[in-house]
Amino acid sequence: MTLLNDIFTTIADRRDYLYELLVQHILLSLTAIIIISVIGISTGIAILQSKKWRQIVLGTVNFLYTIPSIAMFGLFIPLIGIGYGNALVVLVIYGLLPVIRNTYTGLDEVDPLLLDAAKGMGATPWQVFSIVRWPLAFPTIVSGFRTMVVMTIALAGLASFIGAGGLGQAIYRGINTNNSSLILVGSIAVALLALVADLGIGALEKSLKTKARKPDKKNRFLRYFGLGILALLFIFMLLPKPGNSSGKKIVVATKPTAEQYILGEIISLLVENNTDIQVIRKFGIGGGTSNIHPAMLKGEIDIYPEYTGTAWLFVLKEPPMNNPDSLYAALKRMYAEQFNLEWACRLGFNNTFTLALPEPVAQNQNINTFSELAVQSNQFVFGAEFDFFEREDGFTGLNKVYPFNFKNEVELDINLKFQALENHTVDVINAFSTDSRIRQMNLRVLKDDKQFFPAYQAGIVIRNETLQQYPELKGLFERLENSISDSAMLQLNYEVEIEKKSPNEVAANFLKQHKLLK
Amino acid sequence: MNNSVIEIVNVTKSYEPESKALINVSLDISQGAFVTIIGPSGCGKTTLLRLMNGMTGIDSGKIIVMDKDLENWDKIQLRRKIGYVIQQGGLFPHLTVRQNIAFVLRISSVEKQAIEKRVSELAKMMGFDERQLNAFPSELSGGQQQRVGVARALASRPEIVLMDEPFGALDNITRRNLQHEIKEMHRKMKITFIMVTHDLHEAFTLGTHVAIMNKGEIVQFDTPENIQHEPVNKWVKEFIHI
Repeated sequence: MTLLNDIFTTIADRRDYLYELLVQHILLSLTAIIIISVIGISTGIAILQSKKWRQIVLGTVNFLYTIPSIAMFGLFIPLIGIGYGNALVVLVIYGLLPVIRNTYTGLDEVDPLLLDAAKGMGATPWQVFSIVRWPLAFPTIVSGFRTMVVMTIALAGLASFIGAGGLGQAIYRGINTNNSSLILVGSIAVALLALVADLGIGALEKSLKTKARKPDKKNRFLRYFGLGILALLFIFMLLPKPGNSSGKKIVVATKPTAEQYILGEIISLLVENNTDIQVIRKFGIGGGTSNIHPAMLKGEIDIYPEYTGTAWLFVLKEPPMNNPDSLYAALKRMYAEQFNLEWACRLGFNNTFTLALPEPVAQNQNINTFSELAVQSNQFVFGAEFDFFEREDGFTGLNKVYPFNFKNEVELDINLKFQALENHTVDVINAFSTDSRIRQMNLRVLKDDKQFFPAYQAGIVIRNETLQQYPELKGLFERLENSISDSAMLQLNYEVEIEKKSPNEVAANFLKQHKLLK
Repeated sequence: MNNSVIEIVNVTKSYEPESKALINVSLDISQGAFVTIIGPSGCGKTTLLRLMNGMTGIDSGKIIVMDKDLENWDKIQLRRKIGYVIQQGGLFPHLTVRQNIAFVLRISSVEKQAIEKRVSELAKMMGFDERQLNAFPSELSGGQQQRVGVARALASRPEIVLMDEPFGALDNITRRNLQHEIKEMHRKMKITFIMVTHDLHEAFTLGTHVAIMNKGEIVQFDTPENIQHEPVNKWVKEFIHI
């Protein structure tokens, strides 16, 4: 029953958010469905005449259909970029197969004797097609259409992966912020939408089947029911997109983690409350920096939160540098020169690898730093995920700087690490310094006193062109400089991931406390 | 013969270069005749029928239909003037009996009221009630379906009706009844009927003239009495006495 309660609370709390996602979802699906129908049906008709083209077309769509959808979304990022356009293209590609195939099959399977009869009675080629061939193929075509509609609505749930919005965003956000009721609400909504569309088409199909006869009561009901549902979906298309009054807008993106959602909300709320610029939130972009950075360069995204270490090592591909301040200075300069991107501020916290152990143990043994842990390490079992042991910038390198001598070293699945600590299978683990479970499980984060791990200080990156276009943004993010400490970020993450508050609410409270929000 | 409505002169037709479907066929059909075409399967009788409304083209020769060379006819206009009944009726399963009968009128853009009037006439003539008119073909018996096919062919008051084994798939009793009906119809309406059949009895009882075909040629074309009394050769004699 608590689950049911959670679901209702989630719906009530996030009504506007969910409604917006629903509208986006319908808009995206419906546009795709219309395009697919037009292309698919005309292609299906066109390939009737030529066997060669038929083989080429059906072979191609069959092949495309076998490519995993996630891969397909990713495949188009370099070509089209992220967002609505990409999602639309992928949905159209997937939807084509059932429509083309059923249109072709339906038309091809019409008894040639009937076509001969129509022609022999003096029907023009168009009359043969429109009065005899098309209506006889129609049930097969509709069943392909129905398959396509359900598939498209379901697949549109993945569109949020590349920042195209829709109900998938709720699911995706739920996964990334460990919020199972949000996942459920999103999933149920997608399923319901598909079901309703399927019912609508089914009812319409049934009523059309007996159109020739005078419509009886049940038939008429079915037809109005079907038309009603389709009309309702269509009205959504005509609804004005939310906001969009001043014409000024910027796109704020984030990676798919709870922390990034919170930072994204902080940035968005700050902009919304201090300017008349509309913020388009493209949160939780799959692939993180590898997809966001190129989109920043193309101008599809204007602002996003980034970590200095990621930018330095992954984007600039520079060798590790120990001093975080000189790293930041160099980073800021190189970003401006190479990419025309501005690091507006550092937020204050450092989300890097660290080592953690239960607070009572740490207190007992008086361990505050990596060095202090190294001295007593023979009393402890160390646990980390497989690749931490493998990487040069992981355990191997760490061991060269700090002479650890653990009682045992255990390789664990990354998701079971904290559980292992709770079960006392291990005593010390590696962790990210702002992981909310550190607080949940009352762990002490040790200080990397010889600065082995590179700094991953969070900051805000913004396009210089955006700053020039909207001068009112200048100086806005500098107000966030050094405003979030490690423990403050950990607290914010905790509120979202463990207490299940929405990132928007948590971000708003944070800004109010710092008098940054009116 | 006077008053010829279809005149076929020296027509040759082949689907593949090697095998000829029709060889040097000539046939003169006069107004109001009931011509039956009969012969072993593959003899070209269906091809011969399909030449007459331009459904099949010819390689050489000449065809004159209703005083006009077939080449000069707008094929679509011509077909609308010629009734066409094919095997198993060729009824459209997604249209009601009423809509099937009205098909030619509908595609010729005849006014709705005129269509309704004509359909009622035909329904009265064929004895269809309102319930049957609103039924789909699959809800009727085979014989009834075939009668719908005939009614459909008559809808535009054609001068000529072409029929390709219309009663082929029916049981014997239904078949005899329909043969009787169509003979009556022919007697009353003075329409030219041309019917392909593989049933000797049907060919000789219905036809005012019978064309006997073999291997792409018309072996004999005459009245049933003349053929029975004076078959042109041994093959015809054997064929009609099987």
